[in-house]
Amino acid sequence: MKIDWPVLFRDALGAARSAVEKNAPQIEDFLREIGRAHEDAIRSIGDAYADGDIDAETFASELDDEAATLAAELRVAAVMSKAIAQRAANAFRDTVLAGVNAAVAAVL
Amino acid sequence: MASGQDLLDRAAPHVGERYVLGARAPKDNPDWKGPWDCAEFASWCVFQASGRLFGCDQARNPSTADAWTGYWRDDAQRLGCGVDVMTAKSTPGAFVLRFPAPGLVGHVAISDGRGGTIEAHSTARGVIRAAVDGRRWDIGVLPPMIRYAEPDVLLPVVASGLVLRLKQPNMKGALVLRLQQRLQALGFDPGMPDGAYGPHTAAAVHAFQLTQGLVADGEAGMATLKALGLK
Repeated sequence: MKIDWPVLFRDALGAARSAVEKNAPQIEDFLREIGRAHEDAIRSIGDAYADGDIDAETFASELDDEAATLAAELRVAAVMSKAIAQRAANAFRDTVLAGVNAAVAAVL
Repeated sequence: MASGQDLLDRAAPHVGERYVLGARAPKDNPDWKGPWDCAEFASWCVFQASGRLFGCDQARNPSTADAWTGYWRDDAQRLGCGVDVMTAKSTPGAFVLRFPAPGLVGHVAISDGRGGTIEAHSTARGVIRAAVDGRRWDIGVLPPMIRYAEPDVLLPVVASGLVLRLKQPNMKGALVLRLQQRLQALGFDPGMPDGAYGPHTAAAVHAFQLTQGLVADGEAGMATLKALGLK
């Protein structure tokens, strides 16, 4: 199954930015850089789910782990509160989850 | 107080030495040249730099103290010196730690602060220089008996891809089933193949890794999946 990862990552970063709009200028660069560092891992997890190698629950759990790491890194790199970093990471995670689920549903 | 760089300087001359899982290193012997395992090497470096034990059992005798990644996790939590992996990657002499699954071992490596590591890796590779990126770590650790400077630049950590491992709820799917079937075919017993990565599967992966000289942590990442012919 083909997932349009570049578009999905662009949307996920956009969602993370929007979720913390007031702090967006402060975190923009960090978000892009840290998000990029997670791309290959998320792609590997998403493709494994789309190909049936892991089930939906495992995919969601792995994505949660990535989001938790992303939030911790954002918090340190951008010197932001835990709540704001978590909000950005959750928005990123929710967009990836919805995008991959939509791609999987489209072929079922 | 010794710095993170001092600790790295203690570690560097040991690259190339032998690895034996479960080896015991006398932490107070500055002339020890192995064999090592990952936690013994890390704890020996801390003791040599600081004169204090970290990541060891309660024996408190540096000659006989047993180091283990589970004790590293416990000390990091008890002393509140766990940090995110990005900070550890960017800090010379910090540690990156993978927690052990119950009954198994995890892994611990020393960060050089520039994205590299020095670590007692495996039977096949011994003590090596490697990289933080692309591998699964749970936390970074800054033992309090070592002085660490705040990093000038934070280096983002390139996360690992999918790593099959013991977690709650169990990881499930067709890849786990294929892994179990392959292990069974090779003579490693993962229990009844059911597509769920439980303790029997982790133990079988651990046994397989030992025979291949891989990092024997019971987790199936790219190196283990490749060795099994599954990637």
